[in-house]
Formats: sequence, C-alpha cells, structure tokens
Amino acid sequence: MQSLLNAARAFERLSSFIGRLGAWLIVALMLVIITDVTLRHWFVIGSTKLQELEWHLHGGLFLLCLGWAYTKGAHVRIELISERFSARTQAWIELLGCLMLLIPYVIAILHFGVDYTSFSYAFNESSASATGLPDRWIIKGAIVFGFAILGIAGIARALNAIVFLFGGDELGKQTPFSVHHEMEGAS
Amino acid sequence: GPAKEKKAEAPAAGTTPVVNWRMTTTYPSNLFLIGTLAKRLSDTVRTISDGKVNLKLYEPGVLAPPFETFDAVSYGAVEAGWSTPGYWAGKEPALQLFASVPFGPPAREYLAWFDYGGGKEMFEKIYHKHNIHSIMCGLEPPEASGWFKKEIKSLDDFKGLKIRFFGLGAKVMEEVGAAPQLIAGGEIYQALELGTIDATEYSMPAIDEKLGLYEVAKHYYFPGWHQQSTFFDLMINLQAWNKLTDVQKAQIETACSSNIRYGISEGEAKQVAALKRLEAKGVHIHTWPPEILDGLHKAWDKVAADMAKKDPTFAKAWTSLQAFRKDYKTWSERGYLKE
Amino acid sequence: MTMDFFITYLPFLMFLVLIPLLFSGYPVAFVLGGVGLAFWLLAVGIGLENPHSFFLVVSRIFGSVVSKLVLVAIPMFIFMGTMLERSGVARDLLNTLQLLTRRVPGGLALSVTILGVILAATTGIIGASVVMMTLLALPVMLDRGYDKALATGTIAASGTLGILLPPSIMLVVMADLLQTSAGGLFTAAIGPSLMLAALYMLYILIRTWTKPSLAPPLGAEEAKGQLTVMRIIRSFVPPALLIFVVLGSIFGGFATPTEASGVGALGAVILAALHGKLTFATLKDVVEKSALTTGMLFGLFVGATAFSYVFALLGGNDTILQVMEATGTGPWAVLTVLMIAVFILGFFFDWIEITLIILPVFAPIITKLDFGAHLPDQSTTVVWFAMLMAVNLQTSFLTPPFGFALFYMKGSAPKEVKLGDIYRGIVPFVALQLLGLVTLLIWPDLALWLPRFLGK
Ligand code: NA
Ligand code: NA
Repeated sequence: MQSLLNAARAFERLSSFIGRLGAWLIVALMLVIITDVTLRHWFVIGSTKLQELEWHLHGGLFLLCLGWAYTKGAHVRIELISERFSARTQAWIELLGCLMLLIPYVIAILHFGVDYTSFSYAFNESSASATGLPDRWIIKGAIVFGFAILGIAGIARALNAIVFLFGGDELGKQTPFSVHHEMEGAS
Repeated sequence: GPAKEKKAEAPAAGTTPVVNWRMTTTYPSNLFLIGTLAKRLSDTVRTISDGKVNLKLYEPGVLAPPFETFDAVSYGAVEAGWSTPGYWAGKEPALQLFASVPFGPPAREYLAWFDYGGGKEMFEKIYHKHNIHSIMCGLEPPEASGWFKKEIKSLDDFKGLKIRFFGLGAKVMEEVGAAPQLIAGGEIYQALELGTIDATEYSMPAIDEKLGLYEVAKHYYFPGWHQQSTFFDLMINLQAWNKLTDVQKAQIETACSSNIRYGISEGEAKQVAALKRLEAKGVHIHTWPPEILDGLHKAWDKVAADMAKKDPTFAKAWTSLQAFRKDYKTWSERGYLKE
Repeated sequence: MTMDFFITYLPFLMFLVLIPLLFSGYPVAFVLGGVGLAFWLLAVGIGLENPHSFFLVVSRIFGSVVSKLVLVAIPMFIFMGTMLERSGVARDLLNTLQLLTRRVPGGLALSVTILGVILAATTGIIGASVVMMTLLALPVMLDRGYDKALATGTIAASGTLGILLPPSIMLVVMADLLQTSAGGLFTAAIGPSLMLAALYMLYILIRTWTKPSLAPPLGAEEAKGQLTVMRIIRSFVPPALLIFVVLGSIFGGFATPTEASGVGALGAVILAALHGKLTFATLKDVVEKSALTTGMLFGLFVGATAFSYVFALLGGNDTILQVMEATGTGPWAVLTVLMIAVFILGFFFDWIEITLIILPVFAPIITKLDFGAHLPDQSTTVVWFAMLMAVNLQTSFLTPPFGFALFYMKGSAPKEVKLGDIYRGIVPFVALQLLGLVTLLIWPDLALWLPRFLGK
C-alpha cells in the first residue's frame, strides 16, 4: 500500500509539473497576440502564421493543464448530493469514476489520437492555408500528450482512493480523501 | 439515423445489399450551390438507385467539423464527405490544382483536362494514397475577386493591404505586397466594418449578397482571377467504395456528372439578378484593369514555379495542366468566336 | 419491435444514465466523456456502429476546440480577470461603486449588471465573460454579505449577455445558417440585450427593496469619510482606462474582438504593475490559477463534444426533428413549437448543438412563415426569428442541469459557493429570460426598430 501511495504521489508530481510548465503558455499567447496586432497595424505584415500560432498556444495550454486540473481538484463537480456522502463513499465514487469513466475515455482518445497524429506526421501535414504554419503533427500530438497526462492524473487519483479504502487509517490519512488531509484547491 | 437504416435493410435482402452511408459536408446544406449541390447529390442517388443507395447528409459540425472531413473519410469514421479538393492543401498541396487555379481554365477547359488530359488519373492516385476514392461532383462558375473598402487603382495599392484570403491566391497576394490575414469566419464582417482588415475574398454574387458584406465594403471586384471555376468532390472511403457493385458505382458517378451540369447551369443563371440587386444597394462593381491582372498573373507564375519546386506531385499536375492549356489554345482560338 | 424501439430511444437513454452519474459528484467533464464512450461501445457491440467512428471525437477536439481562433479569447479573459482580482483593481472599483450607490437598494448588484453589459461588448464568448465576472465580482459581493443566490444569479445572467450583445459568435453562426447579414443581426440584438439587462436590474431593485437583507447596505458609519474624490478617481481611472483600451482596440480597427482579449490581458498586467502589485510570485500565481481555470473549462468542452457527438451518431438529432416536424402547422404553431423545443433542448445542450440540430432544417421553413400584420414586412421574419432564437439560446446557458454558464461559474467561484446556491440563484433569472422572450414575441419592434432606423 505504501508503494501505491508513493506511485500516486509520483504521478501527481508529474502531472503537476507538466501543468505548471504549460501554464506559462498563457503569457506566450498574450505576447503573440500583442505582436500580431502591432505588426499588422503599424508594420502591415501578413499574420496568418502568428494567428495560427495563437490557437496552437491556446490548444497546448489547456491540453497540458487537463491532468493537473484534476490533481488540484479544479474540474467542476455537482456536489449537491454527494457532499452528504461519507468519505468512504466519496472515495468509492472516485475510484469507480476513474476506472469506468475517465480511464476508458482517456484510452479511447489515446487509441484514436495516436492514429490521428501519426497520419499527420506520415504525410507531413501543414496548415491548409498556403501562408500558414507547417508540422501540424505537433499540435495534434499535444492532444495525445495532454490526455496521457490526464490519464496519469486519473491513475494517481484511483491509487489514492485504493489506499484510502484498503490501506488502513495511517496511510489513509495521507490521501486527499481523508478529512485530515489538507486538500489544495478542492471544489 | 441508424434506426431507420436498420429497418431499410430488412426488406431489401435480395441480391444487392442496400448502401446506407453517412455523408458529412464542409458547407451548410442551404448555401447556394456549394451546399445545395450536396443535397441534390443525395436526392439524385437515392432516386436513381430506387432507394438502395442512401447518402445521408450531415451538416458541418454535427459529426465532423468542416475541416476534419478529409480525415473522417480517410479513417472510415464516415463513408463519404462533400467538399472541395482545395481545402486539403495541408494534406496534399497538389489537390489545390484540382479545385481552382489562379488564372486557371474556365469550366469547359477544366473538365476537358480532367476527363481527357490526364487530370483524373493523377487526382485518383493522390486520393488513393490517403485511402479515399474521390469523384468530381460539382462545378461552380467564377467567384468574385472580393470586397474592398477602398478602390484599387494600381498594383501598388495592394502594398500593405490587409486582406483576408485563403489558398493559392493568398500566396499571390503576399507576392504583390499585400498582407493576407486569417480572420475567423465569424469575425470577417466586423473586422471589415471596423477596418481591422481592408478587404476580403468571399464567394460569388448569389452567395455574397445574402451575407451583407456590401454594408461594410462598397467596392466589389471582378473577375475573380483566383477562382475562375471551382470543383467540388465527393470523397468516399476507399474500402467502402470497393465494396460497391458496378451498378452502384455507376449510379453515384452518374449522379455526380449530373451535379456538375447543374452546378454550371444554375450557377450561371442566378448571378444576374443578384448582381442587379447589389448594384441597386449602392455597391460599386469594378472590373480589374488589364495591367493589374497582368501583374497578378506574373506574381502567380512565380508562386506556381516556387510551389512546383517544393512538391513533386504539385509539379506533375501543374506541368500537365500547363501543357494541356497550351495545346488547347490551337482549338479554342479557332473554335470559338471572340466576344 | 422492441429492438427497434430500444434503438430509437438509445440516444435518450444516454441522459437517463448521465444524470445520476452527474449527481454522484464525479467531475462533469469526465462523466460526459465516459458516458459518451460507453454508449458508443454499446452501439458497436450490438452492430449499430462501425468501430472507427469514435475517431471523430479526436477530430472534434482538434477541429472545434483546439483550432478555433475565437476560443483564444477564453484563456486571455480568464488571465485578465485573475490579474485584476489579484492586483486589487477590481476590488477597489467595486468597493467604491458600493459607496457611491449606497442609497440604492442592491447597488453593487446593479453595478455588476452594468459591468456585464460593458464586458458583453468586448467578447462574444460566454466562458470568457462568466469566468471573468465571477472572479471579479463574486468575492466582493460575498464579502459584503450579499445573498449567495442573488449574487450568483446576477453574475451568471449578466455574464451571458455577451453572447447576445454584439460582437457575438453565436449571431454570426446564425447569420450563416439563416443566410442573412451578420451586421443586421448585430444591430437587431442591441434592443433585446438592453431590455434583458433592464429586466435584471428591475428585478434586483424590487427584490432588494422588499428584502434588504439580501443585499446589506453599507452602514452610515462604514460609509462615512471614505468617499473622497481622490478615492473615486483612484479606483475608477485604471479599470476605465482598461475598458477604453479593449473597446478602443476593437472599434478603432486595431484588433478583432479575439485579439482585444490579449490586449486586455496585457493591460491588466500593466495596471497591476502601476498598483505596485506585480511581483514574479504574483505573476506565477495568476498564471497558474488562470491555467487551472482554463483546464477546467476546456475539460468541459472536450467532454461535451464527445457526448453530443455520440448522441447525434445514434440518431438523437433525427428523432428530435421528427417529433418537432410532426407537431403543428401554421406560422404561430411552428414558431411556438420551435421556441419550446429550443428551451427544452437548452436544459441539456449548448447553443452550438441546438443551432446545428434545428437551423439547417428549419431555416427554409422559417423564412417563408407569414405573420401578417404582426411584423412590419415579410422580409423581417428572419431577423425577428433569429432574435427569439438568440434570447432562447442565451437562456440555455442558464438552465440547470446543464447550464454551462453555471458550471463555468462553479469552477471559478470561491469554495464556499455550492452548485445548489447557483441553481437556486438562477431560477428567477430564467423566469426573467422567459419574460423577455415573450415580450419580444409580442413586440417585434424591440429588435426590428433599430435596424430599420439605421437603414440596415
Ligand atoms: Na458580445
Ligand atoms: Na442549459
């Protein structure tokens, strides 16, 4: 059980690391937009590439943060009824949710997403706009990468739930399901 | 829906299986020609197959987002897709030459090259590489050159012009010093109104009229040098196509031939009234002076040469089309009255 | 027979499974995605569906969420809102507003509604405006002892005005599908948007007048001596400047509304610097908080796209259309059926799905409907209909269980705000929406007068 908890921690650290890094794309996005507006208005430069870069950054941003948002409990929940459940029931819901909803969904996206990206790579796909950006596989690959990280965050959550449910009091206290645990950003 | 398709299959358990395909499209089905032709195709195929070949039309975005049509068909997520080959430049730059070519041929010459000049063979080969069998299935008359906030009096006026442009024409614009922009479809109107862009390429009078761009840009230019005639195609997943019987294949091909004929006749017929209404609304309709067209043509030749250098498939199709057009002149210059 | 019945209603079964799972408290985004996948697998299992079609969910994530340039405004406005909140600019403004309006019942809520209208003029993306309004105004309102339901309802409703008041991506999509001028719809939407804002304000006034505890007024002691000219200037100038820059960049032709969001984000950073609040730690904090909110919001998008795709794939859209087409003929009957259908669909779908289900099929029918003397002339039917539809679709963001505006708000609100508070808060505003819709039905000139006056 201790090793499960350690694994959960490692997975959480990984998803948080990727998310925290990806978060800075928000600043890059802001700077690209400002550059685009400035260049177009005062220097009159064609900006298809910059405009495409804008949605590349926006896509990268949210995809890299999906998993981290789960780890931090930022995803919206309808807690109307569930908040009255005991900690054990909530952990069971979380475990079953991970195993039956999140992880299969992530696997399906990964399965089809790998095909989607590899076709793009194999045919050297570029922007449909003649003045746009090359290498579409990078941003398409970001979907696969982002969902993989979400999957890892999901596994971490499931492991935490298992430790809480079956690992006894001592270990259980160290999981986010315990009332003693300081849950950061939980909703 | 699948429910109905299931039901339809039962009584037809004779010799040929009933074909129930999903057809996704890149244009809303009520858009003049570019959308209505897809609807017409679906109706015609159903009629001439006595209800045994059904291409059920799905509006853009209901199943696949418009620009995902190619991948959807290629992967077999849906069996068929309605689009123009020009949208898939990112997949195969050469496909742009099978949609519309700047300073390219008018409909009759384009069809002659496609059917008898080697176009079709190249076209099918390119698509087959991507697991798609595509059939030319619609042809649209010339588009307008676009909506401009200010009059363009010389080639120099293009310098620094912020213009929304797509495809090969965007390259030409860049070549003459304009700054092609990628404005989200939903923001064109306002961007033009507020001067974020100075001009935009759009479609033909019968379509442009309804979208009200004349309210924000009064100068409407012709001829559309970038799109003299535009092909639309029916993309079919290759495995799905191979499973059809010869009769079914012929039914789809015949419906597409008839679609091309109607695209031309309806497209030619409906522009007059639209142009008149636009003029009545105070739109200034201009014709490009020859020296501007010459300048754009030279720019295009340079762009085409560059593109041919970068992509061998593009080079092959481009050479073939150029050679055909050169030869064709021996006939067209003799056969047709100069108007 | 039973199999056919099962297949026809399979898409509706999706909702029967979805709703209890949503109330389990597992994240909405993953319940949507997971249920979509489960039903797709079921359909593949019973031979209804080919084993490749889930591929299009990836296509939809790329085509409708990642590569959509207009969605770039969402992270930018979230960043702007978070930065304004963290730097205290928003708090200063709202506190001063409350001092200024201390003699008016519900003064702060009224100010928030006006802020919503201003924000609506800068963006047409609901996610952006609701999140930003929540970040800016909700903590201040709660601090001031406002009733949670009143505060959340006001913010959610005012935040959704953005999709109605131009610029609006929804109106552009509708113009495309109805083949009418986007500019015409933009002009027509101004009347109904302002009417709705006025209705909200009237409601707030009446509610807080009759029950002042919902919006505790500032005590005379508290207010005394605080309201100086200097204070007003200091709290008003920075945000006014920011609004001026964002609106100015759009209307001056420098930037599209999408790009203006980036300009606004930079503006917020500069304001924070001028306030002396811009340290690296603050920036990092704002960046991370906005990224988490962005991840939450797009997680919802991505889950919803999987769910609605499978629903359409299984023939749900067709069944809805069949039911609608079977009901009623004659202009008023058709219109009524459409309006009721859009409202009901609004409980479960977002505007884009509803427009895609309904408009392509009904657009040709609508343009030909003849309402006689009720409308100034036949050609205005389309515009009037588009406005009715638009108000109705705006409402769909607010109606539980799937009011996406409610989810966006929940995801960015302080922890003590529960979804139950939000659901409770929104009910009177949904009633106001319906009142607005009926007013527009009875009095088409609310939308049609301005375009006529301007000759559009
Ligand atoms: Na707006
Ligand atoms: Na709703």
